[in-house]
Amino acid sequence: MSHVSADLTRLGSIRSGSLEVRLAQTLAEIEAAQRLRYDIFYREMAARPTAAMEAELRDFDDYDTVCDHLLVIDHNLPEDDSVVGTYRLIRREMAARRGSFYSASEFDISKLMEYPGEILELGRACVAPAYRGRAITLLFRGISAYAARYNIEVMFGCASLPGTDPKALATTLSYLYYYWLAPPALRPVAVAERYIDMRQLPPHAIDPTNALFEVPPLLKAYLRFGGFIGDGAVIDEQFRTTDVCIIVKTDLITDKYAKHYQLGRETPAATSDVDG
Amino acid sequence: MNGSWLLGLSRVIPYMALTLAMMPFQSLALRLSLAMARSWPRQYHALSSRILGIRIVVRGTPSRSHPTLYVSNHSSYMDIQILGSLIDCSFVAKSDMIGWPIIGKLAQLQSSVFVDRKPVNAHEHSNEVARRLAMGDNLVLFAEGTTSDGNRILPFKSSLLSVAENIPAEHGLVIQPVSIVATALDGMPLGRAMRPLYAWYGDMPLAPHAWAIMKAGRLTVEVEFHEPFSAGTMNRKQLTARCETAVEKGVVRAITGRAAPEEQPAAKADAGDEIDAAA
Repeated sequence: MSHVSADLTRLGSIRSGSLEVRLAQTLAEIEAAQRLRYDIFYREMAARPTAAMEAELRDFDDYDTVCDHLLVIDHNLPEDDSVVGTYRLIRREMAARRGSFYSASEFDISKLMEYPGEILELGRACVAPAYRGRAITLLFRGISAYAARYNIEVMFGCASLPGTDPKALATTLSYLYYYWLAPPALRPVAVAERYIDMRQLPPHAIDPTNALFEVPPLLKAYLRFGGFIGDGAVIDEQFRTTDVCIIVKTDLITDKYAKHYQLGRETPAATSDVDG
Repeated sequence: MNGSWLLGLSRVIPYMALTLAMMPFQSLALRLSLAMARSWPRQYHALSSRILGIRIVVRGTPSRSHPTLYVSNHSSYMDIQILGSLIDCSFVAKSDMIGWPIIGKLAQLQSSVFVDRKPVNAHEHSNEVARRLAMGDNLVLFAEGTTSDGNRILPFKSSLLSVAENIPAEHGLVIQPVSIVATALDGMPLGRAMRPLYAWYGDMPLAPHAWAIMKAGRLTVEVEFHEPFSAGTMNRKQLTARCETAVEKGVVRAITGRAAPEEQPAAKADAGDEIDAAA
């Protein structure tokens, strides 16, 4: 993990009271993040652990050894349990080491892959219940610092809606499609054999304000920071979720690319209510 | 009104410097939809209040639920700075404010929601308020629709709360009534006659009023966050009555000095959210 410690010094850390956000430096810290993921995904939410995960009480996969782990640490807690928030960050070179980005199993992201600037995949976001709100803000601050450090212009990843029944999520899926669809030049599309049409309802059946209330908080935060949604949803049976692909332009996006890829600098919220 | 020119200058110069220095950065942060655009206004208002020597006394606890609609009384432009230093929020403002010099720009930088009283536009503006709440933004609504003389509250306008009535109960909108009253100058009770030092109402010219505050001593402003409640299935008349009753009680308590002892200094009310240092 030499790349982790080398990069860490340049990212620095952000403090807020007893909370600190920074990259994981040791294997023990990565394991603490994996334990938090296990608690949230498999105990609080409905995901199904593999036997190996159940034995270790950790959520892990092949990407954990190649990616960066952003952590929120509460220094008032005992060291072993001090990780209260985490995000997984995967850059191109890390994905190459593993063969592909994580999202590639659910979405065709070839247009993103061809994007000439730096891209970053976000995933496995989770925050301990007592820290929601505060820790999310800090994680976003950490991601901003990371994006600045690596000149990231576009971020992307799978965002999950709870449950595996698209009919139960009809309003949210349809709303995201009609109001927040990514421009074609960068739009990810669910892989054909898993593609679920997000247009569960016709456009006129959607009340955008009411639908926005129902969007999960993390997804709402992405939309606030300039997010767009890919075409098609995918059922994740292991995690018991319905996933959409989100792309977020960062403030580092150059004007030239912003124009070419139709990623306006204004947030889509300002215009979508009109053309929706 | 009395006061010290020197004190006035020692406040107005740093205040203007801070404000002018902040404006381009906040403008850029908003344009690029950076996370800081949401937390900077509160830090700006807190610093401004310190520069102006305002002592803020906080009672009760601001709602942490997103979204919360704070429903407050209103007697001065200073209310915005003081509430803005205590909670991350945007304000619902009258649309004619956009055109006011500097203040209009500041209102825009705070991501204010501008509402038009003309019935022809009312629906569209009400939608914008609802959309901002749906996005998870906290909003402050001054329910009197104008400023009072600070010695009493004016009847709350239920039309302004119709937006809460139209949001389905399952979305869990939280409403928190808030009272804000200037109670003392240099530790001495303001009293009815002196209240207009803080209160700005009717057709008072702005500049002399602001200058009087700048050169006056240390103002104490008391803010009481009342029990938050879920909008649920209440209609706008019920919502309005509930808010008005709570706010009026708080205002009377503060004016008559019968409020409970202060619970916590304002600066520490919410220190956990402050970002101490960046990378």
